[in-house]
Amino acid sequence: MVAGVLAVLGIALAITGPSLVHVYDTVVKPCMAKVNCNGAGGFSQRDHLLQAVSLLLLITPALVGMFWGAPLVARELENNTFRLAWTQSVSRVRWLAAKLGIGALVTIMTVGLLSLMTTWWFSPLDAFSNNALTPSIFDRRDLVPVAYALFAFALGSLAGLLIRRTLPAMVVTLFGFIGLRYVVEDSLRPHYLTPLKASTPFNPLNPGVTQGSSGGLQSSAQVVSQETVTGTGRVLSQSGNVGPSSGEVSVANSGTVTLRGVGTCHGNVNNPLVATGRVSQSLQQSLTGGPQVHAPSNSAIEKLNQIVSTCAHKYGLRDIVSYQPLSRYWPFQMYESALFIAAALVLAGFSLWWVRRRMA
Amino acid sequence: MSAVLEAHGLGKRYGRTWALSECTVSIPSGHVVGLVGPNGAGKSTLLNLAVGLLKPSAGGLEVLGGRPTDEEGQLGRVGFVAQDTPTYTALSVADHLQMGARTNPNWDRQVADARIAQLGLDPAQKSGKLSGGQRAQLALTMAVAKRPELLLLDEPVASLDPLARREFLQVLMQTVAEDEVSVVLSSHLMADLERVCDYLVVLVASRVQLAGPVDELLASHRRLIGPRRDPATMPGNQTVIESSHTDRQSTFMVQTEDPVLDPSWTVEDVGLEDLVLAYMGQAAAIARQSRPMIGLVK
Repeated sequence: MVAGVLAVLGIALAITGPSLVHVYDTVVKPCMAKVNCNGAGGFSQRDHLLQAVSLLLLITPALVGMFWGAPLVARELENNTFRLAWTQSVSRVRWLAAKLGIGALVTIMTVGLLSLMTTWWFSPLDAFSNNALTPSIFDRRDLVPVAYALFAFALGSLAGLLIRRTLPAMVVTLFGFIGLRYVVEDSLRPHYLTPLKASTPFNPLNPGVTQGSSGGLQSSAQVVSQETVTGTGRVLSQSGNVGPSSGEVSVANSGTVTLRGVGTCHGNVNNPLVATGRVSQSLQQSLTGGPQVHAPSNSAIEKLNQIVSTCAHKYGLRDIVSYQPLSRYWPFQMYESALFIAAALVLAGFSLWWVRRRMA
Repeated sequence: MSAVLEAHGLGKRYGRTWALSECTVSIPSGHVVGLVGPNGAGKSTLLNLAVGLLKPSAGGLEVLGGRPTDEEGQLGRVGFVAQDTPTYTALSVADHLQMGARTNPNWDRQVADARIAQLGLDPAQKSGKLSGGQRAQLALTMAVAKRPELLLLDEPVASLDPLARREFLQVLMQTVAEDEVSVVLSSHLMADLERVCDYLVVLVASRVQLAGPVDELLASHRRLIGPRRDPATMPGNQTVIESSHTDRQSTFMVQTEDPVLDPSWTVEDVGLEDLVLAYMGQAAAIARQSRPMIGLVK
């Protein structure tokens, strides 16, 4: 059945894949050659398809754990067939090792094939978005889905062994798997290698945005953390929330800029929002879509930005960004895979120990 | 005579309840042994302990002179047919035989194939589609084809209809006749055992109430019917197992090695079923007496 599903999927991907390549070649590539490219439109027409395939890679490891791992032993215990299996001339350790080994092999082959197909299928889009360290891409390409699936399989079989019932074991597997994935993605992965640091000027218009045209950092980098520091090296805040959105910067009607905790700059230009007759109490409201009467004009925002930037420059405000460069994609795939495979081996080892020592 | 199964003070506990406690029993080799007892007596627990599916919580147990462990040598010597004869519903008969062949070094393919053919089972049939009787036969075939020295069967016929039951026991008898294999068969139904067993162990509440070759047991028990009489006045060489009285008449089941000479008695032979029931009844009566009185305030 699994082979059938994979075959159907393979055919579907084979049919749709070339059209993505076609879109990439005819629309995206010429577009990327230009300065201001909004060429993703060619892909976004296929949004649903993209999301479906992407989602498939996200959930497959969990499905492997729930539907192959959890019933592996639990169903034998539920149906009493373990009494048949364990009274042949083979020890339970060998019996379980064989089951785990065959299951792992099938998992590697199916999920590996699936990952291979979808990684190929996504390659034009990935080349376009050029940020493979983003979790929604990194988690669903190349090696890591296979490692996730192996871990989920080992977790499921251990849960089934301990709980002795399939359904609860499936639930435990799902939550355990999501739990470890979350912890690794959130806390461990950003630190597989020491993040690089980059310093970019404080950007009042887009606080916290340090990448792309408005920041100094390449958009392919994966930001780990950022902080805003003053010229004297004092850290104002973590994660770049100094800025209008946190109320740390305000501009009075007279044009006086206040950088809270840093200082003020008396301007010789009035707040342009007042000058244009558009009433807004602060930059915060005008930029974050807070309560306002009229939308400010672009030129007014630009002027405001200049006033704040000048002040920020006076105090030497900078954003320090810790990031992982795209060049670390393969090492990170390796580390993450090794981590999950090691966890899978530990769980499998515990299962073997348990079935020998404790099951009775 | 060496023992195929020897338990000493054997106990198995689940949480705070003992499924088997202080069980001491010795089952000799070369017999078809019936392990009888009411539900909950610990028969199933004893057999599962004997095949290593359970670990004892207390006491010791030797099977064929070895400790029943999850060790391949020991596993190969004991064949086991579990209660309700579980099989893999999604696997075919042939798959089961294949599994047996791969997991048992002494697997006898000829025996297995011949038995399946004799039973008229279709090798391609999924075991989930087999009748209860056919499933039991498949489980027995697997246990026999591994060529064990000892065959343990845990209530193999309990869920079968009378015809399937008789067929199963016939096949079992045939196997015993062909191979030199000792058999222990548990059941709470005497009628099944009467047909096949030549040795009987009666287990009530973990305790062996009676054990011995069937013919000796039958020869040493008598039913006596005569004028009403107090059991305490019976001669010393006659142990009363069971007694019942009407106004004028007493009926006793006695255990005695000697002939009954008192002419006031009508002496009858006892059937195996009556004999076992008498011992079970006796054990139940003792259990009732020794049970602590709960909630009784004096």
